[in-house]
Amino acid sequence: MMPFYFGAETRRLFGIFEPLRVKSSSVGAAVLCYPWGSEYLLVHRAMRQLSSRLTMTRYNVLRFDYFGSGDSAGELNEADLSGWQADIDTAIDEMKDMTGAARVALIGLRIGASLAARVAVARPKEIESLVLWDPIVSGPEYLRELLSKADLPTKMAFNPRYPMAVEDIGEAVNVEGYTLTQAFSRDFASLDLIALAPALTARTLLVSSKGVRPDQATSRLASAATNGTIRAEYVESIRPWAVDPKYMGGLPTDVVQRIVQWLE
Amino acid sequence: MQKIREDAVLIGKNRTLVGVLTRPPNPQPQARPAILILNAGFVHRVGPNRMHVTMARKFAEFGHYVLRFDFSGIGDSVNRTDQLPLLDAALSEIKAAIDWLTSASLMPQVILIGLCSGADHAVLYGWRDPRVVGLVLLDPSVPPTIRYYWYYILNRLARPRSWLNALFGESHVRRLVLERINFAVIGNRSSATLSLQHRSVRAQLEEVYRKTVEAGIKLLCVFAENTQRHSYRDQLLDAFPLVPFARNLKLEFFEASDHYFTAERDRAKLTKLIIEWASSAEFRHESAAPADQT
Repeated sequence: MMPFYFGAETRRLFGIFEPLRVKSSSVGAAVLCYPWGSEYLLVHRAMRQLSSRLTMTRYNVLRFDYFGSGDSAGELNEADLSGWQADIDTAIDEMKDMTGAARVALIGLRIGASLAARVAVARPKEIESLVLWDPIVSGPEYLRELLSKADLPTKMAFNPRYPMAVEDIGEAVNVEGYTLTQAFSRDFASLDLIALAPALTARTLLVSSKGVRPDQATSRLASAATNGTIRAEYVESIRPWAVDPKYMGGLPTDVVQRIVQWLE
Repeated sequence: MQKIREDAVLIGKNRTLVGVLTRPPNPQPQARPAILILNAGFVHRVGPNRMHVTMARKFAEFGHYVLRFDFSGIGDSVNRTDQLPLLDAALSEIKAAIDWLTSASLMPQVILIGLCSGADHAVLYGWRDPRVVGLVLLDPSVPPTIRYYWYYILNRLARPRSWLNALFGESHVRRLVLERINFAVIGNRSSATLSLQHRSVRAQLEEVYRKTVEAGIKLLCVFAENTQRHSYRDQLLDAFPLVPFARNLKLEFFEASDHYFTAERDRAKLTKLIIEWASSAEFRHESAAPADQT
């Protein structure tokens, strides 16, 4: 296991490279794409578990932090989604360089999944497979979710137009300790994975941990891809990115197992 | 103009502990104490709300070398394979981190910073190691006092929500009272508050603080108001009346702040406070116990 910084000097990204730990005749390379904000800390153990399991099958794995998050350079108010998408590109290039792999498996959780999908559409020849774990499907819906948790002035909280629109939040708001700038909010609002889905050509696993009753957006995403590229699976599981007192300290073992099996 | 620099490092005997070293722009050997930031609970080295990262960068801008690392089994550090009890493992890993940091920075003096359990680890370790000259304790464990219960109950009674909770069975106040009765009558010690209340635990903590102060270590203790651990500014002093804190202690109470200093203004205020304290305090450590005895 090797922690290191990579990428341009002006945009240094922190990564953890975990090498394959067993012999394999078909060695693969996987890049894991994290969520952001408070979800980043909450999912860390789960992502580490997933990485560890993958290194026991046939994968070298790179986990990394986007610019302005985790241990990477920069601050969150300097970040945007196009930059984070470019960070995934950088991580893929780094992984290919380190392992000699021509193609990588891209695995994303929450916003990481949404960005991974964008990268997979932009670089179809280099993505061997794609895992979308509880992706953010609808940007406006996600933004409403974020703003409902934001530290807003009282008068805004009693605004009859609540939940807020992007224009209402001023320069930035604090969402569970993390800065959400207006620019970033617009970025989130522009996400539309359903519109992107028909362009997906990579072999894709969509995992929803909401069990057999997934939300409408996830169901629509599964239907939106052409040529049957998306395989959708619904697993009743701990959601590692959410605080749930029932499952404190628990890990989404079922989902991790399913992802590993599918990638094998 | 040179900037701060961050390096990913592996430390410890078997190089299994992951950390990030933040270097000041123009390193001056022995200019300012190096800083070691410890994990808060199970949260990895970036800290709640990424506060450890932001703080480390600010401290480095003021000339400190700063190391943030993960204890074994937390964050990205590998689990231990020996049978060492958790606390002993943590203390040995703090020593390993200090060994590495003092060598990398050429700075023999170190300040430990910790939030929550990180603060507890810091105070349990500090007095043992002559290189530790300062402790920044953010919401450390402090035994409840009579005044704690008084303020806690008063605060709760002043909140409409508390009355609703009491009516519908989710009252913190009621639970606190029932636990106290439970402990007094049955001796059930399962609550975290009650284990701090226990006489031997209180005595051990008091002894640790006494040794810390006698070693000349400077303490900056910051308490957040919105937490169940303490309810007023001087609770530490009242809990340990026999400890001669005097000038060794700077005490701060952040009103309206929560345990994780979620509001950015609180984190900015906290960082500024630590930098000013680290710049103005006269650091020394008078101890007969060498670091190897940890």
